[in-house]
Amino acid sequence: MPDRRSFVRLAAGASAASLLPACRDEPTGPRWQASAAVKSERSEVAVLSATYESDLGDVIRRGIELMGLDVRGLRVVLKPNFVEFDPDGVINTHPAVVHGTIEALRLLGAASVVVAEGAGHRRDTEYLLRETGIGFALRDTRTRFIDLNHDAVRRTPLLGQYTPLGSLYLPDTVLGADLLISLPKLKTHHWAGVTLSMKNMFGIVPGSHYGWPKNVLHWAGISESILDINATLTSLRRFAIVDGIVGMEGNGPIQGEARPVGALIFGADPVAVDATGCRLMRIDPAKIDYIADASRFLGNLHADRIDQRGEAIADLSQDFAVIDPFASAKQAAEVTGS
Amino acid sequence: MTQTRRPTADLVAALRARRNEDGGFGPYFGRPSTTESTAWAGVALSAEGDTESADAAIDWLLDRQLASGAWPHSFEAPEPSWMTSAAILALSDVPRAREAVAHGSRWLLRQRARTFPLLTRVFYRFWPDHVQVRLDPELRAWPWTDGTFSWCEPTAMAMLALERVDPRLVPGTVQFRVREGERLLLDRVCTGGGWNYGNSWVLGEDLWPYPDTTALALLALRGRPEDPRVAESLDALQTMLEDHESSLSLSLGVLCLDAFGIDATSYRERLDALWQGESFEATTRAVALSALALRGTDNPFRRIAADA
Repeated sequence: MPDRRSFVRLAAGASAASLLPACRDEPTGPRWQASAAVKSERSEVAVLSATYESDLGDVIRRGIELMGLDVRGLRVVLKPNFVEFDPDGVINTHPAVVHGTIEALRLLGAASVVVAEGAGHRRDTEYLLRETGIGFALRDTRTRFIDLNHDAVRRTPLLGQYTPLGSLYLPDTVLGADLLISLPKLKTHHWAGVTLSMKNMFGIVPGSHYGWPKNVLHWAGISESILDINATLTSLRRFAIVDGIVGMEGNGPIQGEARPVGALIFGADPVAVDATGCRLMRIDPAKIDYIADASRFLGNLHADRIDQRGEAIADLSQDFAVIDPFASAKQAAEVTGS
Repeated sequence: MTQTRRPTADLVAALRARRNEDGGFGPYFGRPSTTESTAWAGVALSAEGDTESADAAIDWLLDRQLASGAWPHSFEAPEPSWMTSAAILALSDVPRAREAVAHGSRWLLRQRARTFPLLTRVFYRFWPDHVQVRLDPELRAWPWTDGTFSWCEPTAMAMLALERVDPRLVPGTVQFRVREGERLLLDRVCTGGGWNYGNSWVLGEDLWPYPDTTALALLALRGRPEDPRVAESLDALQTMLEDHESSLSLSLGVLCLDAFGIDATSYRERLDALWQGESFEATTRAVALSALALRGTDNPFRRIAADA
């Protein structure tokens, strides 16, 4: 007989918003296509300190250069996170970070930069662009916005088999990019544990096909969907810049509380970037199911496989609150420091 | 009350300019045609008296109905889709579309959302204080995609579409499904009124309502004006509209308030001003709904109310 907590999770886990798999079967073999196994021996991540008042164009340029990313001549798609708006909240990638990234990419010679997002909760993109301030950052920088909820799509076979989905409609704008940059907010997440560069890719799944919220991903399993989508994106050149200047703790990704960290995270390995984000929140990345699974084929989780540039994590990390189901990830981090 | 006026010529021209060579409309300028965009553009241009564009939109819709009766999202995504409700709404007054509408409605009636497994439903019934999402899992209305949960907008749109159909052409289950849709919407109402995308309370936190989903849900529930949750949500809608500067929210809000006979003049004026000024690109649906809202007449939802 399960204990009360297990029973609650087992029964209520099949809820409308989450459908967290109650039990995660140990995979008997690889659940990804061979072409999605891109994990290298070592990965590099940079953490740079910043505030929203900093010259973010300059900070982000330094971060990109520190990682050796050459964007010259590339058609770049920036994928920020603006899922919802709360005037008192810190839900979304800050417009100053979007603005600074556009500036830096242009300075470094990108052929074109577009910003693309498919908001997961709200159909009213016009409202989100205005209220989040991102629309004004785009206007200031004369940057085109693509609403991924309504982009032209291609049915795309998934390179992971964590879900039974098999394929998804994915937007042409993303699939045609020379370089896809995930630009998420550093946040806890009440169903997945954390939301960083990999979870941010939920936003490329078009709402006009899958709805608001993108409930098909919930039924298929949130962690499993993150893995399949990110496995599939290994066909693209990718990079991530995480807005951890002010993060969100507690009941994220919408209703949590602001937690200043003062950091931007840079890297091409999404697993290493997300693991670093976890460490900045003092969360053990190995205890976040999808990051642990992703570390089997997509990238490096363990700190001894990540070459850390810029600021030391210990100098910037903050003790982020998490909700109960993820308390063990916090406790483990405190004990092991992993 | 409702003013009769014409939307700005620029707005109608902007809508007309989005027409693709195939006669349909995409969600933004230059984008491939989709069922939803074509349906709303057709309704708005018909109201404007542009019969040539409206007929082209009707032809586009009639040509793309699937054998199942459903409409697909678009040419590139040919599976049956939630956009079927918009197509039925757009075609419901078109005599030559009578059979297509009936066929589509029968498909829509067969669409029923998934719900939790039995164990979870038992848990929700006996341990309601320990659930993660507060709702009645016995209710099943309409999903966005086949095999997923019930959500507000597809439920409201399906109810509005089914009400437009001659009841002699659809099975008797229509009343049962519409009533279940009403119960589901009332179950999901947010604290203080209004609707989020479909949940009202998750992990101990109230979710906040959105004006666009609230307007659609209220339109679907306008036959229940006596329900205090409807009255509360009408107040919530007007409060939300006070600080929402978007064509989608304001247009749906105006159309909803009109349908309830509530003076929407100030919101209509703000919508008009929004279109006169510089704004972010709106979807074709929002442009079409704005044109309808600014006319003040030919409000398809108001007509439904009058028929009901």
